[in-house]
Amino acid sequence: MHDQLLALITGVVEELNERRSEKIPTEDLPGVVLYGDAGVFDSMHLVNFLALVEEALEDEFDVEISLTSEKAVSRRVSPFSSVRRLIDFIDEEMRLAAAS
Amino acid sequence: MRDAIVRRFDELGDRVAVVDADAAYSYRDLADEIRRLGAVLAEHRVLPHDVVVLNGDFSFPSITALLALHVNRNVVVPVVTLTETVLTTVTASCSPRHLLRTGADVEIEAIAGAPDAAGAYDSLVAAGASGLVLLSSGSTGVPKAILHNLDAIVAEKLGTRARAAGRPANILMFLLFDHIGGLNSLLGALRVGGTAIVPRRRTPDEICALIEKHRIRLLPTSPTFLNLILIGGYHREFDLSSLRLITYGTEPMPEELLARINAAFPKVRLLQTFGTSETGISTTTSESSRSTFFRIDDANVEHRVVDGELQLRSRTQFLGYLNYPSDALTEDGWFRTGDLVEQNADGFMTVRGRATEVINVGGEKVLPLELESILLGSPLIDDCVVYGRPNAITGQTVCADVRPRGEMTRAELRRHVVDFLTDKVDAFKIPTKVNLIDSVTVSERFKKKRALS
Repeated sequence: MHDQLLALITGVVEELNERRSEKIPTEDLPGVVLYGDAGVFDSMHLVNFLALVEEALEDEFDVEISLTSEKAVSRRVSPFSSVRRLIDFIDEEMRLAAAS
Repeated sequence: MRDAIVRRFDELGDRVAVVDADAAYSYRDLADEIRRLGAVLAEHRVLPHDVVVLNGDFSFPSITALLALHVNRNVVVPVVTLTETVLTTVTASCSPRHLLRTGADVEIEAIAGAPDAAGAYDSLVAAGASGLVLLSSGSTGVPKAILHNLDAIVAEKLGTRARAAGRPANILMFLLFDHIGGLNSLLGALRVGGTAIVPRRRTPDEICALIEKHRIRLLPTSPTFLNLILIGGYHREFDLSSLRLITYGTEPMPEELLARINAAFPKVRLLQTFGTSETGISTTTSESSRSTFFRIDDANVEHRVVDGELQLRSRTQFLGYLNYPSDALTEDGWFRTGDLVEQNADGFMTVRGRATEVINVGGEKVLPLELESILLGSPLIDDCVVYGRPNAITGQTVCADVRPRGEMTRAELRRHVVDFLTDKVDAFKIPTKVNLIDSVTVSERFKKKRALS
């Protein structure tokens, strides 16, 4: 599942890169910091990126997950600290969605 | 004053006052029916100043019932769709004594269990005037019950002089019977000795068929409904050449949509109306048919702009809310419309949106209308609605529901929306979420419904 999610996020980043002058490196995507001091996004771009990921999840897995919820924001280890953490969070949320 | 109206209808005699379901009723019929209903009201012990719920949409019986209740000095609460919730609200807040339903004929029944009015109507009783309660179509919660002096509205809109000169106009009763705009259309038709054409259903095809059939000259409507006509191509299917004037109101007009309407109706004058349930409909002048800028030209209405918001004060202003504190009024008695306007150097103004619909993206303000208007300039977009959705990072984000012209996937549509808006608006205004929809949700008053965040 992690590989599929990584591929999905790679697709989203590639789409965003088309419009960015400063490209987000895709070679080691899991290690890329999304938000914070070393982050590639400011808050608005982060929301934009997450909305695209949500849309891709809906299209690919037919599942609706909020990545901008209080739950996502208030976690001790932020899902936005790296792509790897985000994938962990999505995976967890998808399991929860499947179980309910 | 009240009887003078009936006499004036008598004088207009055979002129057609109302066309309802293919039956034509003359002004004499109107006067006769008002008198007959006066007797019916007396028979049911509907006393002057009693509050009466009038249930029905535009029809010959509802129009005559409204006027008969005015003549009888009642407080009228017109309600087109009387749901259980609405009846509960009205019963609790308006202290009604009677329910008058208009079908083929009128039926009157008593309403039990309403609380005492506790002086809410004292000023009307003291003035010996009839009253009107409009229920706001508020987007949330219980509708506001807005009390008016109906004598004042009738005097203002009908005037004391008959203006029956010239060719009588056919006016379509497009706006609803329980809406300030609908009542304004009706009184406007009666003022000029014109004919009120009553639609059965307010679908674009039915309305266009009526315009063709009755050679209607004046169509009062809303931007959203005009767009439904254009999207469906009904203006090409029916002969609408009789139209001289389209008035649009109830919601702001996107500039791009106005351009589309001008292209579709090159010979029709387009006039923006402006009004609120609280202050009534003001007489307005549009800068031109192609401009969303307008001016309030109404001796009865004063206006001012405070912090971008339009405030009004009118002679026919409401007397108060029956079930809400009057916090919409400033200390000096001006009504806060909640409409954000921009003024130009020539004294014209345009509505930029509703204060309550402003989307706040991390402290940056976005007005839905600005984006909707730009998006309608795309040849690939038929219609759209922009609104805010909450999120825990920036507070709100911008979402757009878009109906494309032709086949498109959601991803294609989203890319198009982003491409089209990039370089036209600030980055924070670009929707983060774009949904592909078949049709924009429209309220029964033909306003766009923006999802509330």
